[in-house]
Parts: sequence; structure tokens; C-alpha cells
Amino acid sequence: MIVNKWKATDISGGDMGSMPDSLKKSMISGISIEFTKDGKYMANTGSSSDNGTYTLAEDGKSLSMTGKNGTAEESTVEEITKSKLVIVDKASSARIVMEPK
Amino acid sequence: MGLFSTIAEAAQTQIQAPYTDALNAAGINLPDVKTSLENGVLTVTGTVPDGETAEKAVAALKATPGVTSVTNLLEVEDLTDKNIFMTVATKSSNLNIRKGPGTEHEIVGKAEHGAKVQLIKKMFNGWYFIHDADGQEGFCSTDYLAEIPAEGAPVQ
Repeated sequence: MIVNKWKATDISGGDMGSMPDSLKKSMISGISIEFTKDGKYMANTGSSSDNGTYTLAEDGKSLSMTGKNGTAEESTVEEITKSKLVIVDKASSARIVMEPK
Repeated sequence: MGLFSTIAEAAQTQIQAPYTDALNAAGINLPDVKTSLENGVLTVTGTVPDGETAEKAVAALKATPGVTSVTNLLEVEDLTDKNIFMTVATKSSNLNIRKGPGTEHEIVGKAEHGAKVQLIKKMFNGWYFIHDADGQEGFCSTDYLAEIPAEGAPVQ
């Protein structure tokens, strides 16, 4: 179900919590990520990008992304349906809500 | 990196942008300088070549919309690897360790008369960021510190 092109509709928590609303809206509009069948992802923020590999746990509750610099980023999947993906970064508690692009 | 790291990095760039622009407009290029704004108070950290540049930078940042005051934590030199130790040379009282480089900053600790401290950073105004053997860290003036010979190991 995660294999899709997603775009952000909301971000909160972590560094995002202290971000001015205008900047947050601008950031949200540029954020997208594509997960492909072969276990790769391409993320874009509008001003920067990252790509790498991902692993979704069998129970669908944990997502691991390893980017260009080789560092793994662990997330909790709060919700995953065909129309909605909500993940929370375990390190920063930042939360992102996405819908299909 | 991952999605969140990429977003956080982009957000930081966006957040810093008005301050970077203000510095550039003042003819100051300080790629190492970082800022954070909370309730109108802009805290600026990083390394500058000298005190004059620091003062110019603060003046430019104060004029940025949304900034009511600037907490200047700019340093001119990282001394950690130089292992410079000094002793607290007050007459008899303890030396105040402060939250920032100046007497206007809150006292966060006290170093005992005669105690050994290590200089970690030289700040823009001649104050130092120090730590002592008790693990206290903060800022103090060198007016009440006396030099002792350098040693090979940092304070434990």
C-alpha cells in the first residue's frame, strides 16, 4: 500500500512545531515522496531531495529509510491506507500526514 | 538522510534565510553562524573572525523583522584542543558562571576560589566559555582568572 507517490498535507512536532505558519505552509506544499516496488524512495522538499532504500515492517507499523548518506531513519507508521499515510519520526517526533499525489 | 532529515534540513535553511539575507546585506558572509528565534529573542551562535564583525552582525540581525533583541553567543575561537587551564583568582569569593558572555546574563553556577577551569571558547567580547572539574559549564570573564601552565589532559 505504501508503494505510491505521496504529497504532504500537514507536518507537526519536532523542529516543525516552532516553524512560523507561513513557512510551514510553504514547506508542506513542496514535500513529496515516492516509494517504489523495488524498495527505493525519492523524497523532495521543493528545495532539496534525498533518495535511498526503505523497509516497511511486516506488521506495517515501522518504516526505515536509509538515504544517500547511509544513515537509517526510523519512523512509526500511525496510519496507512490507500488515501492516507501518517508517519512519525522516532528521533524527533516530527509527524507528517500525506495523501496520494 | 531520509524524509524527516531532508525536511528538517530544508526547514532550517528556510528559517535561517531572513537572517542570512540581513547579514549579506550588511556585507557580512558568515556561513557558520546559526540563529534561533523564540519570543522575539534571536540567539546567534557560531564563529566570527573578530569582535567587530560580531558587533556588525548583531546590529544587522537586530534590524530583522520580528526580532526584538539578540542574544550574542558568537565566538572567535574554539580552544578545546589547546588545553588551556586557568585558576579562579578572585580575592576569596566564588566566580560567577553565567548563561551568556556578559554580566547581564543569568548566573548558572559558581567556580570556587582557586579552582581550575578549562577555556573552551573565546567569545566575541573577550569572555570565555569554560568548564570546571565539577562539570559546570558556562561563561565567565577572564578578569578573575589567572594563567597556569597547560596540561596534556582535559579536566575530568
